[in-house]
Amino acid sequence: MQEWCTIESDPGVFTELINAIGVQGVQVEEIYDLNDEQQIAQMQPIYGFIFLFRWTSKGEKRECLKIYDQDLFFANQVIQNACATQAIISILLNCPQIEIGEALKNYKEFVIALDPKERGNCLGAVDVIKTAHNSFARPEPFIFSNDKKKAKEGDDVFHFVSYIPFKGKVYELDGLQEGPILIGEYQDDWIVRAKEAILNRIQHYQEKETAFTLLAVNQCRRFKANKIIEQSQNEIFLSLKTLEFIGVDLTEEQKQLLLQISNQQNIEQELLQESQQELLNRLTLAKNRIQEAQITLSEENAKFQKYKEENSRRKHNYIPFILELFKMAQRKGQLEGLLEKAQQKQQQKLQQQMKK
Amino acid sequence: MNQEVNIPCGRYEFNQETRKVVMQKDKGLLNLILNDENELWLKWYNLDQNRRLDFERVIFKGTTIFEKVKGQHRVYLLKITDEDSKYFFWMQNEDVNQDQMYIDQFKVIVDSQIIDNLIEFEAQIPLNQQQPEFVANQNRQFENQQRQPLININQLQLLELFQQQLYRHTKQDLSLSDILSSEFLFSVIQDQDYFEALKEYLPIDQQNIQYFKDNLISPQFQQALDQLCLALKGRERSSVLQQLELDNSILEKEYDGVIAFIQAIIKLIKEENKNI
Repeated sequence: MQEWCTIESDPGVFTELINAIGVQGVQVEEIYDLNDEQQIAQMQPIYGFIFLFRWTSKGEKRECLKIYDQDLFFANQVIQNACATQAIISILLNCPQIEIGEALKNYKEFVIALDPKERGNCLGAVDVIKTAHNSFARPEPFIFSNDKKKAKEGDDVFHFVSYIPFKGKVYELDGLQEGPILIGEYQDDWIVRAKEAILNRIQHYQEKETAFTLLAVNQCRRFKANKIIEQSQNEIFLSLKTLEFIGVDLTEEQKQLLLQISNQQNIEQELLQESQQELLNRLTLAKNRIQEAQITLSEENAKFQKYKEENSRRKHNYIPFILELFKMAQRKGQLEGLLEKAQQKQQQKLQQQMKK
Repeated sequence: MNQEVNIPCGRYEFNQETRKVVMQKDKGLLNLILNDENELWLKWYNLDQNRRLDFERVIFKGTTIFEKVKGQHRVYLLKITDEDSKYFFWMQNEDVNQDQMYIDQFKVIVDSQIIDNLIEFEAQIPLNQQQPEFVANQNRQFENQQRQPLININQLQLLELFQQQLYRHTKQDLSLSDILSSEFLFSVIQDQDYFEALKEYLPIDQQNIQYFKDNLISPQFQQALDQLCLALKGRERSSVLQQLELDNSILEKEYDGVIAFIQAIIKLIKEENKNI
């Protein structure tokens, strides 16, 4: 059976992974400062957090729930190297507002009656997920007869845990623990509750100088921007239609806009019960929102293009490229000189070190 | 790798005059480590002298025996069979029942050293007569260089391990990134000839000039370079050169895989030019 490979902990990788398994309208973003309220606000709605930290063999024992809401999806991590994907799936399967797609729907229905360990096992049988995960494997251009290298203390192996809101409570989901961990209850904003737990953890790892990263699984900003544009266009249409109806002379630009929008589908036809001034204000606000959303769309498109390029490079085998580069260097009569120069530099370095 | 055991024990020293082995009373620690470079290092620290390192040497799987001396209480013999060297130690840990556990741990670590294809020698294989100076210096107790036939040991692999240590300690450790300097890569980015030759080897959706620079400065390119370098520095570098369709016989004269790689490319292109 093909194994699950290690994949890079990168928002671009995780975003493409989510899309590849059929999930709509979701992306992963890195959070640099949990106290940056502006950044957090721009990411809303946030469906969950993923906390990554360097794994150690000395596992942390946490107080887990043995009895919990059966609608809360929890699975143990039993597949090696799958913890990133599993942490993401934990969030996706506990968030009813997300369109999770066929593969995850089928998986959830199949494993609903199984215990957490079996659920973890069954994840390995979902081809779509495994294929998507392994598509990010770094090319291994050389085949050796040696045993595979196992991760050891000091290697960059990360463990992933999720934080999610579920029915008025915040939970920590760690596949290596026996069950979900209850963080606490919340009223309006679950992030406040989750933040406390995460900041405690960050402080703990900062003291130990352990590397960590925090990611958010949130609504795709392009999806959100498009929605804002659609809603705002609807408002503009209604505002202009109402202005026309109450006898206000529209400008040429407004007439053009009205024509343009009315040709689009899904525009509501009911007029608004507002004064001329209110309508003009509404028009201005809607135009501003569209402008902002278009800037966001432009930025996000650029970001996704960058993700696409980087992911393409991640999957590419550069060895033939490197080999050809060296061959060209020799064809151009440069290679021997490069080697000599490198050796001289190395020699100088050695001599300097010996002097010390 | 990086397996280690520390055994509390004292040493015996060989008295040249009396030709007898005499127990030294100092408290000590025998440290055996199998490191990431597949080297087995044996050290003895004198704990009564501020943990002074009194003894260190390299040992090898297949030529190292560590066993109890019959008839002696808690005295153990470390024997290096290919040199006929012997070192005696006396256990100092409080619990005598732990002695065997330490010995077992010692043996497990020695056996963990990777030496492929242990083969029997029926005839002498001519060795390079000169021992690397490093080995002679480091093995201070090494007096007898008897060249006995090594049964069940791959002499060529032992030589390779020696050479590996020699290279590491003289630090002739060139990487591919050292050779492809940033100055050179900058010139490549601006060279149309390089682009034309290399574009088909770029990711399929990035085979145009605007991506050429991005790829050359990308972390993925650097990772691949490091990966290739690691493969060329490893034990299977001959196989790596073969897989790259380069002449691996160059490794018979050049130990360093990176330099051998460069020399193989130089040779390949020179032959290409001859055939034109």
